[in-house]
Amino acid sequence: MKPLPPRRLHPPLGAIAALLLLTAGVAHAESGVTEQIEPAEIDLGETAQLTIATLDSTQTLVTPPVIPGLEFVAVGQSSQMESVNGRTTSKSSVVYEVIPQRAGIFTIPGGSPPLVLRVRPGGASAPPASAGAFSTSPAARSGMVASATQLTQDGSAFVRLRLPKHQLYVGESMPVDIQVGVRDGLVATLSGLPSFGGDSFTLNNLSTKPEEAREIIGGQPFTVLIWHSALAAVKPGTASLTIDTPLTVRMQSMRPSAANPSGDPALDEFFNDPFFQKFFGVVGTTEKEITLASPPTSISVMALPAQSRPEGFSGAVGHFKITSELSAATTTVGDPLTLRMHVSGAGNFDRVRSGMLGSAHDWKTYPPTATFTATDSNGYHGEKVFEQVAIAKEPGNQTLPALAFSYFDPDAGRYESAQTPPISVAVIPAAASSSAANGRVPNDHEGKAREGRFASPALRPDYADTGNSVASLVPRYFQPPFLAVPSAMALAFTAAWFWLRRREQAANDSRTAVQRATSQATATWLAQMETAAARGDAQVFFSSARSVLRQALGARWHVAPQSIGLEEIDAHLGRDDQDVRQLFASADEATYSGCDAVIGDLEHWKHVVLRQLNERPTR
Amino acid sequence: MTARMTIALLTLALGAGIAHAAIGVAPQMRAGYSAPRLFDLANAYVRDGKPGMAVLNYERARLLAPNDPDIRANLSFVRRTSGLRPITGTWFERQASRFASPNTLFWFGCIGLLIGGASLFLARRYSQHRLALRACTAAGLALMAVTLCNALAIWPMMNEAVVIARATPVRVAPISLADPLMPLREGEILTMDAKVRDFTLVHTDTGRTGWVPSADIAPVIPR
Repeated sequence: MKPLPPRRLHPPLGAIAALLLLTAGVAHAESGVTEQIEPAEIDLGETAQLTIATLDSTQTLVTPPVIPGLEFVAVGQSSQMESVNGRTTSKSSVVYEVIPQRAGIFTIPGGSPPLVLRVRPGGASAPPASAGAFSTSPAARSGMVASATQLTQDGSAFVRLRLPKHQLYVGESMPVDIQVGVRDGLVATLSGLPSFGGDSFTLNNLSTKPEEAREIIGGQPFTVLIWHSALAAVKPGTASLTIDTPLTVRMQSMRPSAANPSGDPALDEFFNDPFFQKFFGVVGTTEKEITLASPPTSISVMALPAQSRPEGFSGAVGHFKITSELSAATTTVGDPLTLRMHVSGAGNFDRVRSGMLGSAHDWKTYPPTATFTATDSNGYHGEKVFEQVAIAKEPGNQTLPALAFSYFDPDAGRYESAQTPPISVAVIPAAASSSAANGRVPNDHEGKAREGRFASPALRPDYADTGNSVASLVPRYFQPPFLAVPSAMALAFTAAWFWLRRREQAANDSRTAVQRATSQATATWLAQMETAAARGDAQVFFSSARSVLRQALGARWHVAPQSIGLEEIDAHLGRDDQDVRQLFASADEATYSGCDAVIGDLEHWKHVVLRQLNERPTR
Repeated sequence: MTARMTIALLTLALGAGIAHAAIGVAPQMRAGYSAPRLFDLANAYVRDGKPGMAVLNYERARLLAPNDPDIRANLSFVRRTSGLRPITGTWFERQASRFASPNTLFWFGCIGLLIGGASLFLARRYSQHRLALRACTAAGLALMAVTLCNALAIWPMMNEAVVIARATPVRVAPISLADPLMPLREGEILTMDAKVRDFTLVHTDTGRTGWVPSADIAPVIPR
């Protein structure tokens, strides 16, 4: 918290002298003191400025006179030094804000002639009489009415609430000043920000660095901390408002044991002497927590009238005016424009809302955004700007509809509806058929058709969401769940291929085994033929030869070897090859009749068999 | 294990894969990434004066719609106005990433696998249609090759990130007090190599390497 600087009042003798001079009507110009007031005529509720300047460095600054009905608040001080030809002169001036508390003609002595301030009766009501002696109000604002200044019992501090009025509507906010004054010399620290109880009002956040001013109350100088804020009414009714401010006050105290240890009353004066106490260190410093409270201020809160409440009223209460503007008067189909609505004035800007265009024919609009810029420290005055992006759908001369804003005027006591004029826009057709205007993603073909627009420095307009979306940007071929599909397919193909291959292998193996057995049998029979031919055994020879031929012809004709007989031979070989038929016939004859053939005949039949074996099998 | 059991298991696995994919697809219809949405978001960031976030969302939109001229135009516009180098890349990366979106190509690859595998089997059975079936096999292999090329071209993007902070320095070590090596511009694209606590090891397209705060960059493909 901000510690209040200890200040001591040192009544300057020069100031008293100057005051005497002022009241005596001495020409200040000769003594180097000049006074000026501007303006000389004001309305009640307004303020004037009194400037008192001293041209001589030896002069001490003067204080303003005490005039019933006028308050003087020091608002500025300046000093200037000049050195010309070795002579140094200085000029100091103090600026006072003069706040009239009633209408009338006031004469401010000291000038030659004396200054005159005329105060006309204005609209503002006169402030209530302050408690106690003469008081002044620092940093007064026109229209602000201060509550009574109620000092603490020891007259060392006060809390004051300044309001522009005591009647307001629900939702209405008004600027307020919270002032905490501490008499100079009192060492105090704020242990918390001012606050008030109850739930009838809300207060904007208070700054931890309040404004600081000086004020004289009853001839005593006070340091005044001022918070500018805004008070808003929450519910109807009459409520009493009291501001509480926690303070930590440091004060000097004497240790009880140190006070006159002898107990002799005659020595009390000696032991209670401040010099004695400070010298022997019997004076201590203690801190005390206190809470300052402002005098209760009654505020009447009225409900907003339910009748003739406009549609779209968002709860804005105050004095507003609206204007609108468009970012460009000419646009192209599909290009965005920014529509702005400025709501400026004074009131509860947190309730100032607008849907702007909403949905407009031939325009694609987006939800508006709002930014508020306060022009005062409490956020009561300012400007709220609504921005909305609008895209023209159709070419031609289009018109953006008027924007409307409704609010409640607390002074007039009725709802007001402000409206901006419609805005005309020339919409030029797009050079190429823009898919964006139709709200869809262009396909590749359209994309190639619009390659010529690549060089355009402007930003391409937004698309409308087509609704097709993916949960992850990771390509599907890198996502395990999706990879299961091709993996399973590849696995299935591989397994099937192996299965097929194995099946074919098995078939090949059985065929090879048969061929091998056949070859072995053929070789055996050939060997028997050789042996029988050498022995001249025709029966064995022809039997073996027939077996060999059956194997060879069976493989060639794809029939079972045992089924080959004379009929088969006739069917396949016809009558052209009589040797084979003759051999089969001779074999039958040798088997059943036991004929004997000469060795030379056996050699012939052997060649016939070998010739048949060497013939290539038909397919 | 008999052949019949093998086929049954494979059928189950294939069905489970498709079901899993379908489960993955279902939520995507409700919420997620879409090229128009990312494009609009990027445009909003451009208007808001945040080129880093704009580049990030344009890159993401480009991944889903690689042939969209508006996305490429706005991305080039933002990069140009932000003082960033134009989009580069090898010929292979440029061509392979322009066929179609990776997700579309994924299904092309699956179809190619199906066609290629089936035609290989049929060619063994029906030798009289061998030529036509071999053409089908070649077509299937071509589809798979295109998908594979696209995957190879996209793979580097899996580790790419965009600088989203106004100005962030590349430091020599993954601590805040380490000496800065060079500043990075907002919107610059980096390749992420490793991550240690709140820092990420990156290298730029010029080959310089260093550590940047992870909060100052955003991956193009979030995982």
